[in-house]
Amino acid sequence: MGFIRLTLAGLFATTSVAGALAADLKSVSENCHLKGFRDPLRCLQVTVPADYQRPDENQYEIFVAIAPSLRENAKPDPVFVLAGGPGQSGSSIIHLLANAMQKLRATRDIVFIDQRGTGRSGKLDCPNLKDQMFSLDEQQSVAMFRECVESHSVDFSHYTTANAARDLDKIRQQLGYNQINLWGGSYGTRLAQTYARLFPENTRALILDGVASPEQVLAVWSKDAQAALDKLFQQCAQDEDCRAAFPNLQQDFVNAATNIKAGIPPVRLRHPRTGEWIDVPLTYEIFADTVRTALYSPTTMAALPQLIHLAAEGNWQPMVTALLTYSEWTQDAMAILLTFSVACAEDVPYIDEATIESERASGFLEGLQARTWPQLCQQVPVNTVERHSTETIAAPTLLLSGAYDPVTPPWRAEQAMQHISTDQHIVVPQLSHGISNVGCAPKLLRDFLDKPNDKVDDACLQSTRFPPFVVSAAGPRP
Amino acid sequence: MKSLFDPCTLAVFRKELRDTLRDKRSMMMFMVFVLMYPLMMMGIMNFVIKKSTAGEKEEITVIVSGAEYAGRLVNDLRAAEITVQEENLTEDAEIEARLKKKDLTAVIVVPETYPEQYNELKPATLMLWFNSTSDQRSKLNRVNSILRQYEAVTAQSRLLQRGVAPALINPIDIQEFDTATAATRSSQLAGTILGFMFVFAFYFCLNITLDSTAGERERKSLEILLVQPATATQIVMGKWLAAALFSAVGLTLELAAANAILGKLPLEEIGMSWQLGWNGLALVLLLSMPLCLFAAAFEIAFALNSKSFKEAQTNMGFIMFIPMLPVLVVAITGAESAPWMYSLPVLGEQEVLKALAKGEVLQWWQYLAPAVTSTVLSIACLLFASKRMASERFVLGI
Repeated sequence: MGFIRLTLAGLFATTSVAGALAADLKSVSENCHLKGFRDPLRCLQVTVPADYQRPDENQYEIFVAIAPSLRENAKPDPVFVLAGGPGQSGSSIIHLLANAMQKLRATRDIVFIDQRGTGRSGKLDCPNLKDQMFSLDEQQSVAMFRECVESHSVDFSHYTTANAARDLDKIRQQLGYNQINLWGGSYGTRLAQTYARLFPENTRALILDGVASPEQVLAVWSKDAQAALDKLFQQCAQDEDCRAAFPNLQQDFVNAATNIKAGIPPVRLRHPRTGEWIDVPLTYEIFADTVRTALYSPTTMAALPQLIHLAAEGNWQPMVTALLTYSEWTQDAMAILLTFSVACAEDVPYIDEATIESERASGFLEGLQARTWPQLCQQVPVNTVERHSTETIAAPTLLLSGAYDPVTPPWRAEQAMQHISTDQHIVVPQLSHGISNVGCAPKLLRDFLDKPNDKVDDACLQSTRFPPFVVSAAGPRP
Repeated sequence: MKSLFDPCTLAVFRKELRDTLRDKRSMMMFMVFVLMYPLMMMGIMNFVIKKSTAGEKEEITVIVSGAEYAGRLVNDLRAAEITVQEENLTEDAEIEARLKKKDLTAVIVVPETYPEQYNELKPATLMLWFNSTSDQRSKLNRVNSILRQYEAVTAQSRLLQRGVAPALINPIDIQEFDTATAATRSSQLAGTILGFMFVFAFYFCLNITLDSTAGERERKSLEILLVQPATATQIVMGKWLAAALFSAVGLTLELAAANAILGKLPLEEIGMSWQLGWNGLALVLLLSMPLCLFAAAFEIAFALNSKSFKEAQTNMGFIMFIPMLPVLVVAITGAESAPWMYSLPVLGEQEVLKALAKGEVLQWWQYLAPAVTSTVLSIACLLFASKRMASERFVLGI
């Protein structure tokens, strides 16, 4: 039996533990499908302490969805995807797998997390408040918000970015990963940086798309929003069609703003979805916030000059249609109460009178959020959290910015880079908030994570075009 | 079977091993067989992957006639890295002549009336000329999807301006949920392409079996062997074990090479994946060891009947086809997995590999069935060969 036994022993000796991790995943998770992606994923709930100071008291369940890597010899370091907001859930951005994460998924597991208080991890939401968006005055909104806060029996002070980062590490342990990469979008970049500072030894690399710097205070957005709008006016002036159609765009904006501040009758229109006749009392604040929302994406930006121009002529219906349409796109996904639990603990306490004054004077938004959020925060029982640490991050980091971004513009990334030792920054001139899904970006993400210390060649992204402006009833020029 | 590990058997085994290892030509052939198939597979898979992603990566060229009437469309095409040649073609015959060329995907003709129709919000007509006999399918699909996107942008903008939510165009949101994973989608690949690997178990030991049986007869060295103090059975056993070892080593190297190659290929580009890994591979190898034993026994039994090496080679050409037959039939007819398949050598191993690559859990009998069949057939072949070897008339070729 000699040689046969030898051969077999040899075989078993050469089998590696490559499949061990996959087996781990199999045992702790189950097959599931989530809206937005065709293939099966693996889902699980991870139990975490509500309060890390008192880990034995209360527990939360965190929902996690994993897209296992497509190649068997998966790299040991997965990508943790951190959604924006705060308030967006990982399971609501599963569609990123179809494009942004597609190249990464070849060799790495992609892990989506519903941050505590979002999505399927005990969503903190106020659905009624969203439904009543336009029918309430300020007082009524605050009262309704308070009602919503009181209807939740949770300790809101547990819902901080730092705790969300500790949850990530619990998930990492449960899934048996050693080091992880983090992809963060928008607010997710704050969470990713927080994780990298709390757990530097477990962080392999960071990809930050639409970067919030540690110094940044949420709701203080006027200056950046104005800069983005000015850029749009410039772009229109340089574009033949847009210039011909709206030669006095900047004046149009001033006129529209003046008119609405003076007060206009409620806008009567058919609801774009239901077709019912509705009256929308339009205020300057709602107008300003609609413009700000439109600046988030090149597609909506391309339609903005026409909306402004028509409004200046006294036709507000298209503007309200846009507003109602945008809000339907974004509303459901956000967990409003989680947004405020985080902002009221980490940002709003740092908005002082001086900040509000300078906000009022630094752009069309006139400090809308900076003025109203403190009122709402009085209703949310949380403890003020220290400003975010600016300790240096050693993990190699790729930062992505769109030049038009009204909330996380490129200079914010530059600010964040002062506290990161190994970094590279890609600015795409024709894009706004969110880069990873566009053009060759998915490939660049893969290139970066494969060799995080090498320079990524971003030439293919730089040729991204600005979408054609909408210039007439027929749409953009043919 | 007590003769299996008899010193005499092992002596014969060592002799055959030494003979073959000394023979440069045999060893060359062995290495060629080991690497040929995995490399061929790599070439084929690479070709398939390249072809499927060709739409994205290959040069696409379209001619746009009347480009000045549809500047945005031309921009959209160029943004998608499509080469646009602006050229005014008025005659149909001209367009047809252009499309005879191999490197042109389509001709888009924008008539003079296009901007007017567009601006009046009427359906604006443009012509997409293509030649469906040429091999431009994937490229044409790509051009088509850009055209559809161009149209959708226009439609969305018009609806919004009328105060209608663009979502109304798609009243039903059909979420497609596929229960197949990339691994299960790949089982066809694993089954057909990899299943063929087991056929090679018959080739790795071909040289050594022919040489140690028909070759020895031809060189008249078999008689010298027979006058040694070893029984016919022991001689056959020794030769068989040596041949089986070659088969086993060859199969191990081949599967390892294939596994390494498949792990490296960008299979995800064609919606597949290779998830077997070294653990699964070890299991497959373990289960296919009896097949190696059978391959050697089968060839020895048949080659013994030939009087010369040449003759054996010719006969083997036909005989080797027998174990391959079920594999070919299943591959050609695309028959679904059925219990009986597990009981055939080669096909059985192939089914086990397919299931493992899919990540399926098999019944114990499914694992063991191919091994049992191979073992039973091996014993039958060996009994036959020993009987032959014991007959003086046969050995001396009287």
